[in-house]
Amino acid sequence: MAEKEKEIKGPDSEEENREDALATAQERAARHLKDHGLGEIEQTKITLFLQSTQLAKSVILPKVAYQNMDWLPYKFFHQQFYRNSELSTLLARATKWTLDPFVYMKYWEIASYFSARTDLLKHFSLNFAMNDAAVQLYEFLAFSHALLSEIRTSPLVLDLPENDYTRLLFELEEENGRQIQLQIRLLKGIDLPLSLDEKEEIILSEREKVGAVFQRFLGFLCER
Amino acid sequence: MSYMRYKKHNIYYELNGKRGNPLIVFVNGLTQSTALWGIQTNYLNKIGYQTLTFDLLGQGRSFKPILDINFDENADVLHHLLTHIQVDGAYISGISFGGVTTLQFGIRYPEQCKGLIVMSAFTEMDHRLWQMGVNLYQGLTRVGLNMLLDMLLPMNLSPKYLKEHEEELKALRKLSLARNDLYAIQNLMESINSFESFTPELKKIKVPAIILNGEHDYLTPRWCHELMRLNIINSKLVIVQHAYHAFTIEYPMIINRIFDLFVHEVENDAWRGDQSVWIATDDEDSEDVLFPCEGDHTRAIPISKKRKPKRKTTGDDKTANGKPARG
Repeated sequence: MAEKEKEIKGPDSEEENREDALATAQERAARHLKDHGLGEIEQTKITLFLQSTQLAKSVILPKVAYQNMDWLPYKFFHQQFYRNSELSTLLARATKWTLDPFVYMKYWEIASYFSARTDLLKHFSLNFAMNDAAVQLYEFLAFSHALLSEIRTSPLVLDLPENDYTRLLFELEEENGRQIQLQIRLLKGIDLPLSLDEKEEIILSEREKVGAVFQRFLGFLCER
Repeated sequence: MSYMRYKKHNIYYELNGKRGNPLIVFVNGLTQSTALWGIQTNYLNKIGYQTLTFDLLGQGRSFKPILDINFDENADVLHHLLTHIQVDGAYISGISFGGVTTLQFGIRYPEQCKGLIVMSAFTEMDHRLWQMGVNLYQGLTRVGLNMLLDMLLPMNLSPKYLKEHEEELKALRKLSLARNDLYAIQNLMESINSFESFTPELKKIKVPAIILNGEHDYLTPRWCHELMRLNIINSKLVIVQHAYHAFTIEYPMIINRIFDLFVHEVENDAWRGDQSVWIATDDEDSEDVLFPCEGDHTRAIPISKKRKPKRKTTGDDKTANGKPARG
């Protein structure tokens, strides 16, 4: 039998560290849920976090509502806004909420970190005039793309028995896959005075911020 | 866990087996990741091969670009990876999407190829294949990754396998949904938009090449592989009996034995790449892995290659009802 030799090397860049750290945090959270179950506390934590992301994704419509924008992207922004509201309320309905006030108090730390790390207020307060604030719009698109793509809760419940709540988490991600088409098309196709490198830099930066928030949340999820 | 830096991105790879043994590289299909080659790599490591699996840009643990993936870069990534692990030459294998990269690698980096194992691939798209690609893409973007997987499963596997592994496949589907990122798969599919036929370039491939095609593969049917056989001078075409597109999953042991046979023949100077056509055994314990194909392999009905020349119709050939007899 041939000797088996496995190369084991640690990641050698910041980006690797970030991706690996996030993957490790996800694996740890999935193990935690497998060992301790998806009880009221865990469901509450996940729903609070997902509702925060739904809210953050929803800030765009009021911003673009009065802009001179092509019909098709506007229609999809509109669709995203109402779909987000629908999913957010459905999630609330499917959740077994905990009565433990400390969970909500503790979540406040995550919500604050979310807001600070992603510079959320910037997206709330900006006026996305299509000509002079196009870069900020691009930043928002990159940010919302990261919310839709980086925050993946289905791998956390993969090994758990199916119920309405876990099924909804999968449905939410399916829906994210449809919604993200708007972000993908605009990020790739929008005509802006930015080079490809500059665009990539913005995208990576938003991904990193959202990834850091998700990682912090995963740690919170594992706290007993 | 090992990573290589390619441009600004990280490429994840796994290198297993004893250094110095013949190295076989596996290039993933579209929704695949390194883990899905486990049944091949475990077996081949045990019988004395070194194996290398890696995730393409946009797959598994490799970097997932958002703006763009250039399809041609997949071959460049592999070139850098082989240079990175300091290997002079390897046997490059790939399935489907990865089979295309395998061929392109053979054309562009012959100095790093000892041989090619091309499975369920294509070098050009007819309108049917193109339309199927468009449908898969529409399924992914309009409905979601679940739709893409649901469309791919019956294309990839036989009815028998689908029925007998229903529960396993459900779990696999769920796992695939959780592990794959839609935008990254979408990027990979969009990279095919710039795909151009490279059939004429196949003539540049001089290294031994074994081409594997499932008997009932209707995603990349026989004609795709026939083009490869006719254009790669040092090749053999093998038809995998009863198989559809994803025979590495359905007939892993037979495929493992073909890998072993091919590399063994090349390493021992016993390979004869004569563009002949072979049929793979459907019994994984049989002594011979391959036997010659004697019929017309391009047809779905068993017509012998040797046919009588068509007779001229004369008045004598008329049948009792006055119509000419069929030749």
